[in-house]
Formats: sequence, C-alpha cells, structure tokens
Amino acid sequence: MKQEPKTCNLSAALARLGGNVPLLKSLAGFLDEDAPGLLRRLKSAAEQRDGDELHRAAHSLKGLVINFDAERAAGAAERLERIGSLGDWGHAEEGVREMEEALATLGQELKMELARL
Amino acid sequence: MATVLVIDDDRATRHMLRDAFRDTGLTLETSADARGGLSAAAKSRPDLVLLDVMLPDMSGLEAFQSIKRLDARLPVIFITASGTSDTAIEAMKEGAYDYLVKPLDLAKVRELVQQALEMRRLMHVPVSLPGAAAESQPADPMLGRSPRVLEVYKAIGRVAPQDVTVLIRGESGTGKELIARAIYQHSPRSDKPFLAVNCAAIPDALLESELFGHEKGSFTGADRQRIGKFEQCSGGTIFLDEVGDMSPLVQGKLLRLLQEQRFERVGGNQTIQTDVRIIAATHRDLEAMSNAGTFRADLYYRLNGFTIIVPPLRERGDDIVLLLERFFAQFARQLNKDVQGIAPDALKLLVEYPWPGNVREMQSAVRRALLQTTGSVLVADALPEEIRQGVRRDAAPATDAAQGPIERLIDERLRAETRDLYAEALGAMEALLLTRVLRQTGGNQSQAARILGITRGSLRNKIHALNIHIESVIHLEDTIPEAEEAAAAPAP
Repeated sequence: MKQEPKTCNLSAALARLGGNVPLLKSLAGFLDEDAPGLLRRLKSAAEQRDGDELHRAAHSLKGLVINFDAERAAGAAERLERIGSLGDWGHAEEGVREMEEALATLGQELKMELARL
Repeated sequence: MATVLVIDDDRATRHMLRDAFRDTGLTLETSADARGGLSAAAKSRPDLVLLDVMLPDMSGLEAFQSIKRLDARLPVIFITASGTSDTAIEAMKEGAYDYLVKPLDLAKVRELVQQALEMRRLMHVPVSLPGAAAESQPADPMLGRSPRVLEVYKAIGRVAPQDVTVLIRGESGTGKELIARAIYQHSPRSDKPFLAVNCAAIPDALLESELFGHEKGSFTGADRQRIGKFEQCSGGTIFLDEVGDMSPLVQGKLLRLLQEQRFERVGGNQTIQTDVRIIAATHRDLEAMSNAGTFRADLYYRLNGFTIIVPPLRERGDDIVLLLERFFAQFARQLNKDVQGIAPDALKLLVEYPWPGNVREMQSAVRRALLQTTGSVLVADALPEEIRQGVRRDAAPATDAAQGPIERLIDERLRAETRDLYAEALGAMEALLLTRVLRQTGGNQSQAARILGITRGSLRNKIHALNIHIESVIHLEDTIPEAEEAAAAPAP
C-alpha cells in the first residue's frame, strides 16, 4: 500500500544537522519568513503564465521545505516546477492551491514539533 | 587558511553552511547570486566553491564555466535540490569536483569539503625540488642530496614534460605522492585538474564506479548517474596510488583506458572518450604479482613504460641526518618547543634505526619525541620505544620480494642464471601449496583434493611429479629443494 507523504520528519532533519536544535529552529524561521513571499510569486507567475518564474519560485520553496523532510510540500513544489517548465497551465491553479495547503500544514506541524524540542 | 565561497540564493542554505564551518579554521564567503559570486571569486581567490545549480541571474552551469575560466583548477561542488539534476551531471562531465543533493547532511558536507580542499592543496601547493628558485608561497619541499634521490629528481625532470604514463615504485612512506605532484606541476597539464585516488582505500566494488562512473540503476544503490574520475578529469592528470591493489576487473578496464583512452561507465553502453595522463604508484612487487597471476602482465607492461624507483630511507645515507634536522626544526616550531638540539646518543639511535615506515615514520617519530621532551635537548629517553630498542639496520622491513621459500628459490635461480624460471617458480609454488594442504589434512589425500578443488587422481599425479613424499610433508622448508629438483626436471 502506498504511504501518504509525510508532512515533516524532524528527527531525520535534526540528525543531518548533527543534533543542532537552534540551527533547525533558525531554518524554520527562514521558512516562516520567506514562504509567504515565494507563494505570492507563485500565484502571480501562474496568473501571468510565466513558466520560468513559476519554476524558479517553486524551486526556491522546495529548497526551503526539503530541510524538514516535508515530503508533501516538496512534492507539491516539484509538481509546480514541472508545470512551469512544461507550460502545463491547466494544472497550475490546482498546483498552487496544493502548495498553499501543504505549506500551511507544514507550518502548523513545525510549530508544534519545535515547541517540544 | 583555506577560503570557501558559497554561491546560493537560498539564505537557509548559506546560514546552514556558515554554521557547519564555524570554528573549523576555514574562511567562508557567501553570495546570493552568480554575478556577486563571480566577483567574489575573482577578488578573494577561494580554494573551493559551493555552487547552487539554479541561481536567479545565471544558470549554475554558466557560472561554473565562468569560474573555470578564472581558475581551471578551482574545485567546484554543486548543490542541487533535485536527485536527477542534469545540470550537476553535465557539470561533473565538465570537471566539477562533485555535487551535493539537498537536504544537506552537514557531516557529509564537511567530509566532502575537506576532500576537495586536500585535492586543491595537492594541485596548488608547489613541490619544490632542491636547487629550484625559492618559492614565493609555502611549498612542500622534496629533500635529499643522496645519489639515489638525485636520480629521482632527474627522472622527474625527464618525464614531467612528456605526456606518458609513469609508474612510481617504493616502500610505503617514501613520498610517492610528492613525486606524482612534482611531475604534474612540471607538466604541460599543470593548468588542468589533478585528482588522486587511493585504490587500496576504496572497496573493490566501489573503485570501478569511482574511476569510471556508473549509470542509474546499474547496481543496488545506484539511484542516479555518476560521473567517474576519468571522465571528470579529462585534460588533466590522475594519480592512482596503490595501483597493485586493484581487482582484476578494474585492471582490465584500466588497461583499455591506457591503450585507447576509452571506457564505458558501469552498466552503460556508451563509449566515453577521455584524455587523462596517469601517474600510478605502488609499494607492491608488480612483477611477482604478475607472475603469480594476481596482476595483469599486459597492464604491468603498460604502466611500466617509465618507472621511478624511490629508495627507502635506510638506503639514503646522509639524507637521514638532513631530514632529521628538517623535521626537528619544523616540529619544534609548530609545537612551540624551545629545544636546542638532539643529544648524541639519541642522534646515533635515530641514524642507525632502519626506518621501515620511511620518511612518514621519521616525521611521526620526531614529532612524538619532541612532545615527550621537557628539557632543552632531545634525549634518547624521549624517542619512541622501537627506536630506543635499536633495531638492527639489516632488519629491513618485510617486502613482497624478500620473503619466504618461493622468493628464496627465485633469488637462487636468478643467481644461477636459469633459463626456465617461470616453470621452476610455478613448480615450487605448486609444491608449497600441496605440502601445506597435505600437512593440514595430516596426509589425507582425499581431503586435500577436496580443499584444492582438484580430483584425487590429479593430486596423486602432482604428488608424484613434484616428488612430494607424504612422510616429509610436515617439513615444509625441506620440500622446496625437492620442488626445485622436480621443477628443474619436470615430469612428462
């Protein structure tokens, strides 16, 4: 049975950072600060059908969320990268919505998980 | 102090890397775009660049090409958020050092950065030969004035400008890597990359992939295409250290590379053309290995086109004192020790010691002795135990060519100017093997045949042909003269 993609996996993320909790928290801070702007860029690029911009913004978002093993958000970003590269505008709106939801869920879960560390 | 330049528009990555290299002694510079990064590279001349594949103002590959124009030998490690980045693979083909896939594992990043910086050091820090003009920057000096070492310097000078394969032979710790670097640095390829691969340090299964690369899915764990060193280093020089430790499979591929400069990646069909100069080194006796069938004779002849023999330290006469003085001064300075000199009894022990680990052992011994020294003179008591015990000069280290009854037989027959050494040595080897196994089985031929993987009849024939008497099986050393006789008059 195919498993649902994880929202995040902080124990794996922390292991890669050598157990450095403050560093993990600062990465979460960057995500918190930078994700809204990148999401705005995604929406604007999708509206204007600017494939390069959509691809770049999705790539940047993927780089941010991947630090937390956020499979769902990274998957959504990867799909948007493809939409941007291929100019597959029929799926752009749905892709951006999916990205927005994945980021919201990730943000909530990170807040809870990091509070426990 | 080495400088690492990070070019990545993701501030989280820049922050992570700054944190990873805090307190490591490295200087880290960062840039969020390619133009700023290129300007920083031109200005601060970094020792390594960590470069994002996708930058806002330029593609990573374009930025890489600009960096290469600035300094063709500057190692570049790509950072990619995709496991299937074509750009990173293309960059590897163009000579990038390696690539890292996000999310970054900081321990792996540190390890790779250290490896790349070591490679940079090997390329960049000049190896200075005696008599050369003084270097304006720190250099790794090649020391020695003994006649045999002077021959080595001359050989380096003769072979460096020629685009030929070189085989460097010598015991461990004699400085073979330094010689390889000197050849590279004095060669027409000195402005192109130099990569060193220690064949003994990489498991057989991985060495083939490391050197020749692999295609995605070619074996378990090959989750993406990998570009090997021979492809990555096209135009440059590869130093294959401990070449005698290669598996037969890799030996075969290396032979073809030396013959045609062509190869296929593991699991691939596409023939890749490259242009690398190979400098190989080994402490092993390749002739003996080739005779024993563990090293391909054709590869040995290919590698052996120009050979430099590095003498062991114990055969370098006055160089021993010269090197002792050099290391004493160097480590006293490094360790901040106010030690004025070496006491005569300590010096005598150091000069008479046979140095089986050669220059590397001497460096370590002098350093350890200085650490132990509390007064103003290095005394014998401060020396490592093996040196204090005064091992005899003739107690030379074990080498492949100076051991055991087969080797003794070979030496004897060479002195006797035999014309049938191949058959003689094989016969002796066979006799030694059979006697060992028969001793193991207490003379039981059925068991021995099973262990040897031959039939009992075949074993009986061999016992007869080699004049092995079961009652003498336990006297191994006594069987060799018999084997020699048998080999000298082989059974029909």
